[in-house]
Amino acid sequence: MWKFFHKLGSPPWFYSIAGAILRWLVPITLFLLIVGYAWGLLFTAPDFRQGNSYRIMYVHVPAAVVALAGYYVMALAGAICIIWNMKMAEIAMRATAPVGALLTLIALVTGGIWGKPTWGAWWVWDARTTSMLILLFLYIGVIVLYEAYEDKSGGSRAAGILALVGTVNIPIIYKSVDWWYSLHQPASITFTGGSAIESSMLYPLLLMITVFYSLFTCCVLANMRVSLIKRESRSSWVRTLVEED
Amino acid sequence: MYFESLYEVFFMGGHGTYVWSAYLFTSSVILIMVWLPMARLRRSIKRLASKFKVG
Repeated sequence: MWKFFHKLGSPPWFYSIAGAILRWLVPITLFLLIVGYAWGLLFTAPDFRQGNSYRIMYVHVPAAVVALAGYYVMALAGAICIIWNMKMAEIAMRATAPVGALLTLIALVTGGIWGKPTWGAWWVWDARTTSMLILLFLYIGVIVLYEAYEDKSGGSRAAGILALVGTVNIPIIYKSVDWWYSLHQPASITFTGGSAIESSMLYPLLLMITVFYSLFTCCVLANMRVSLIKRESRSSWVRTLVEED
Repeated sequence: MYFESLYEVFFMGGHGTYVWSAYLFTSSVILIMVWLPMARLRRSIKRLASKFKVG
């Protein structure tokens, strides 16, 4: 076990393993994305109340779910970075932030597009949408704060602290539809008790959530590889890698 | 398939514009998200290769 963690901190090992994973994970994910698209768009019946506009759910919900989970990943990496000053954790934190920001953007934009035919407005300042907007600003804040520092170890510390403080927002987002009166519908899938969603609609949704988790993993690993090769450009393993290329 | 004609697939009972624009937006962001790190990695390797040749 400890040996595995030790290896995880080794840049050449991580670089090659991540590359091997990406080689098969990226094509599989993109293929399943197309399957999920076709399933959600063409092979499910429309919702009895919302009609066909509900099909936006198959991209909106997975993006939002993974954007929230991704924040925990970033905050955990930030914590490790602050406490043990581990380089790999700093790289992971920085790799997660843009992916999370883009997923939050997808959730917000598709939510707006879904809101127009359903609520009659592109945007409403209610608890769920506003707390999601704050999530976007937190992700962007982590990126900007790191870049703002001349001294990068200070920058990663500051960004890590912001990431940690921002975790307060995540349970607020989860609970926002229960705590406040909101236009946003409450969660349809629950771990306890029955889900308020037909199984013919649930399966494509679960597929799409899996696809988005996999996409998140791919993008974070790919971003980490870019950071690694830049940071380690003076080391011998990068040199052999470049010369072999 | 649920829809009966290609027209219905695009129109979707009046919600076609919303549904298709949401999927189009999502797809473009995903493509950027996947392609960008790959392009950056290739560029970094190329830059390092030329640097090592000179050095």
